[in-house]
Amino acid sequence: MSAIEFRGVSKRFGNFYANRNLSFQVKTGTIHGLIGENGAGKSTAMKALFGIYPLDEGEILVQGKPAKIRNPVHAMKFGIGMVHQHFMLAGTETVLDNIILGHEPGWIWIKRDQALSELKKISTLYGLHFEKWDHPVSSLSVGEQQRVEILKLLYQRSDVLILDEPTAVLTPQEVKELFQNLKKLKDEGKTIILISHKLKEVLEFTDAITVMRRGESVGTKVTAETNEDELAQMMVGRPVSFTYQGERKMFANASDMKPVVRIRDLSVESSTEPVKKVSFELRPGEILGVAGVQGNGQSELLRYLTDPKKFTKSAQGEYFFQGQDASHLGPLEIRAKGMGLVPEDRLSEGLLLQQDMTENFLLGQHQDSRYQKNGLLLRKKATEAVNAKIKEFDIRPPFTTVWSGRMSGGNQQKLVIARALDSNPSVLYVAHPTRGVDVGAIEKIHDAIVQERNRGKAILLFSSELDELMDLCDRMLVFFNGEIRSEYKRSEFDTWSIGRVMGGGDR
Amino acid sequence: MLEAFFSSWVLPTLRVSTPLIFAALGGLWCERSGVVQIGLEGFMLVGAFFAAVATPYFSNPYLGLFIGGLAGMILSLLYGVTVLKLRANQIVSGTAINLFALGIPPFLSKIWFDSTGSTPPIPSESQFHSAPLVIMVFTVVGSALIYHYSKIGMRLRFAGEHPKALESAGVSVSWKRWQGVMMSGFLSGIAGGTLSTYLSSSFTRNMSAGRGFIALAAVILGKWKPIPTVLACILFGLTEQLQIRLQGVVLWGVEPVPVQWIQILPYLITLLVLAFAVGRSFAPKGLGQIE
Amino acid sequence: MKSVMNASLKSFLKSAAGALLGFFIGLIICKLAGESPIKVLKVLYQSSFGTGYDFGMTLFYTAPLILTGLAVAIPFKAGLFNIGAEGQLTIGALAAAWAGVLGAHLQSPAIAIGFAFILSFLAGGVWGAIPGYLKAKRGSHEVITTIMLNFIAAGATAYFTLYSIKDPDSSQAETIPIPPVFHLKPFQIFNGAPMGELILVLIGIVLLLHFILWNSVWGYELKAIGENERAAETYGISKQKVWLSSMFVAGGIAGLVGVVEVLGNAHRFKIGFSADYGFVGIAVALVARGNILGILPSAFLFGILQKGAGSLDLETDKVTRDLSYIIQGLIILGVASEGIWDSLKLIRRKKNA
Repeated sequence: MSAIEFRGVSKRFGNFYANRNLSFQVKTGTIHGLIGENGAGKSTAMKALFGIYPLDEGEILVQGKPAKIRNPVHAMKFGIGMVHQHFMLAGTETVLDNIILGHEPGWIWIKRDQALSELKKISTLYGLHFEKWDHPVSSLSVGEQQRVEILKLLYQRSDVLILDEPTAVLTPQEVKELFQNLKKLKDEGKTIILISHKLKEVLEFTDAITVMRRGESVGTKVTAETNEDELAQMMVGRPVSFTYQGERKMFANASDMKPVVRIRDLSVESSTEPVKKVSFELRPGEILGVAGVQGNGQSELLRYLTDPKKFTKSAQGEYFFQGQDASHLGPLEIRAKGMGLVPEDRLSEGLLLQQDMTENFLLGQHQDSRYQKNGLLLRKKATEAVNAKIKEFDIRPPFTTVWSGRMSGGNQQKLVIARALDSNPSVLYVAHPTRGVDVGAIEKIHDAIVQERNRGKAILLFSSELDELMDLCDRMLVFFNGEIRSEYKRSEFDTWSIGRVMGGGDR
Repeated sequence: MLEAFFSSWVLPTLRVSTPLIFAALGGLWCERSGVVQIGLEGFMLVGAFFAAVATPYFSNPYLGLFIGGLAGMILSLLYGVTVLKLRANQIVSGTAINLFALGIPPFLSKIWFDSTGSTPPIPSESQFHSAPLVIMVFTVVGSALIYHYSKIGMRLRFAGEHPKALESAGVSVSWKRWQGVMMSGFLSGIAGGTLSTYLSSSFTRNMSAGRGFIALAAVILGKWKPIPTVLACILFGLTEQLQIRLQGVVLWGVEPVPVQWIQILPYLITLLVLAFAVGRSFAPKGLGQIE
Repeated sequence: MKSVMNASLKSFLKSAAGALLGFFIGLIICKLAGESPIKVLKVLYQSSFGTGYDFGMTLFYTAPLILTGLAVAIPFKAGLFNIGAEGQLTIGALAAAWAGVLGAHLQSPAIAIGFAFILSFLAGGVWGAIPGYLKAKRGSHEVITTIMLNFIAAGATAYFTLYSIKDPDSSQAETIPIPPVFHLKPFQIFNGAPMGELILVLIGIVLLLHFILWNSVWGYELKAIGENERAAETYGISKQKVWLSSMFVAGGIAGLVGVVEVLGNAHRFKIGFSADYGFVGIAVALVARGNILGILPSAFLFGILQKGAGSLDLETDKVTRDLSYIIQGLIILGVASEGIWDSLKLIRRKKNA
């Protein structure tokens, strides 16, 4: 029997079909993968399932019966629950309160004891070990928070659990643990839908896989009977390789080159993710990767590297940029010495969403003598420069007057990268360049990064996608708990070894 | 000795703190639900006016106070409609409410009493003695209990802290915020009522004199938690008490301290406390965000 | 370019419609109070445009609102809500009066007036910079600090008026009159209404600020911080600098109200002279929707309301000048309520469907 069945579901926005005649079945008691590129319609399909979007055509069946789900709360009554990519947990509140929210026992006053004993029963039944019920959520690791989310669904008596990109923030080891837990749930009769773009893990842990492209289902495969190449081709519609195919120039004497960035014994105080006694060197013509689970000091390191002046009280250690002490410089001064930046989160740190491309292009360049004279901006020159970048990077739509907030993720990122490269910097700090970017743009962005390396630029690449780092980097630093736990040469790259170090273990 | 201290300092301080505490608790509930509330001043003013009008009319200060609360709540509905339904900027709309409220009492007093902005005095038989103080204590205890142990308190907190989590748990965020807004209107209306019927015996033009903003400063200083907020109100009440006591006192030389300097004391201390207390890092995460 | 024009036209129309809506509700309230809205409108019109004197007075009320409107609009671009213009202009006005005391020996009108101009600007600017500083360094919310500073400004100026430069010949709470060399000359056609070339200077200030905010690096930095604080900081724009400078400029501009009042009208500082210019400036700025040039028509609109409201006391039975607060509040709500337009669209769509 099918736990969930989509029958010819269509959802239109204007003339654009986000879902078109979408049909697939999810069998009860299985783990079912739902894969597709960004914009393939996965999340529209899920929003249709939760009643957030009304269907234009077709129907959805739950446990074999047509179900008209009106809203997410109504979906809960059908036993459908979701773990969102961004957890729905309030950090300042306790684990217990977060789980029972909306289903608190008691009429006026909450009977927390009663809720707790029920939760303990549930966690024993499904083998999900947990004890920190009265801790605030913000004190938990990401993996633990995810477990809280799953417990929340079980407390709400969900039978179908949907997980949206659950592994994006986990180490390979944590991923394994997650899937062991999911398997236990499956054995107890729960149905699990896994939304992902990582083919490897979908292949490893699911029973069946539905591939989506352009709002339609391209087909459902039994996992045991398919492989990565087939799925990739189904997803993109043409044969693709997810590893970088371009030419990689070799620098014979790379290790003899004088470093352009030198960090020694750097410590940064921080309540959330301190950096502890970090040392490394960055040389021209190399891509140095920074790997680690989010929250282990990488973000703070990047913030320090771009704006050490802000940390004069909270940081110790040496920071040499182009051979000069940079520990007292601000972002504009470091930029003037040859730094280009692609920040961690383009929306909150990189763009002015309600301004056009020219205004965005000026951000950080507004003091540059090419674009201002005597305190007055030279907007015409900036617009000319943007037009050139639009051609070079194929940014769409190709009009400088478009608000950056109205561009797709990939095009936004191209604009951010084009801006970073505009001053021809010798050092690039690049963070999460392909987060939330579709496959076509990923190829372009990877290509741009490697081309810059081939031109002799020094690149420090932060990413949470281990595959991306392994693909592009010449060397890799692995962060755990604010320290560099290990350094890998390209020849030593190994997923499981790096994963172990990311989780705090040994190589 | 102790008794003298109690009657000359503790009781008067609690007395002048009473309107601040009511208004601050209102502000606390509203901001906890995720809605910025700088309209407390306006609710207070309207509450003060209607309480001062209703008390002699019904010869019942309790009913008068309640009507003051209702008046504040009705004005808060206007605020709620603009920010929750029509997505107006919350600070802008709060300022508009304050301006609007500034005009209501003189507008109505012209029609009802042919005066510009004050009400006839409340006859002594309908005046409060110490009941508002008792009501205040009950409100404080009740608020703290509701905040920590009740469903409504917990859900309200989530509405401000992580509205999406609350929504996905099947509770309407918008309804919780309406509750927060109305609660702030009602409690600040009561606060205004205590101003005109308890601390004095009539309404005078613009009598709230910035107390709504001082109450909000107390919420910030109290890190959006009920008991610390009340303590902050008492601190500000103490400065007000100090201000009253210092008038005409010779501190140095032969002349008393000029009254102008003494009068700015509560505002100056509020400013200093805000400057040296921590910033907004303790504010609810979803404060001011409307989907 | 065309889309930019359309966008600002659309925004202007929206704001005008919002203001009209607020005004209309205000008239309904008059009707409920038992006063004919037509009569209220007539009184407003007559008292603002009736004679050359009336029009001059309307401009005299408009002038401070241009300045306070700017004082709200400029920090608003940087994400700050300055409701402290009232205090800033009070301090600026006292400084203008003090300039008369300090510059009693000056002979040249240009130097005297320039001196008062600069002193008012600096005094208001420093007062405005305080909340800017507190916000930048201590994270104190500017709405509360500016309100507190309004009260403090009122107390402090009262003290200096009564104890430092009080006019010994006057029984009122006012300062020594400024020497005639400081006086600004009104236009003859206004029949004694205290407004002259100054209004042209103010229009010049608006044009200049419009140019600066759009074309300068400083204006860009303001806009960037106002729109996305974190991104702007990541790319090297200091929010401390932006907040401090924008509040200094705003306070200084509000302080120039002192020139309008002290040099142009009263020739001395009187306690409580301001008809809540600082608060009406909020409405002026909001109706202009952050468009600096839009401040001019918007200030004129509220100038009419201010001038006309005074006549309501005399000419109607039920309505007082306080009606203007109610109408201002309603206009702000009408302009700020973005969602009105969506619900209208929705209704239209439903009708079409």
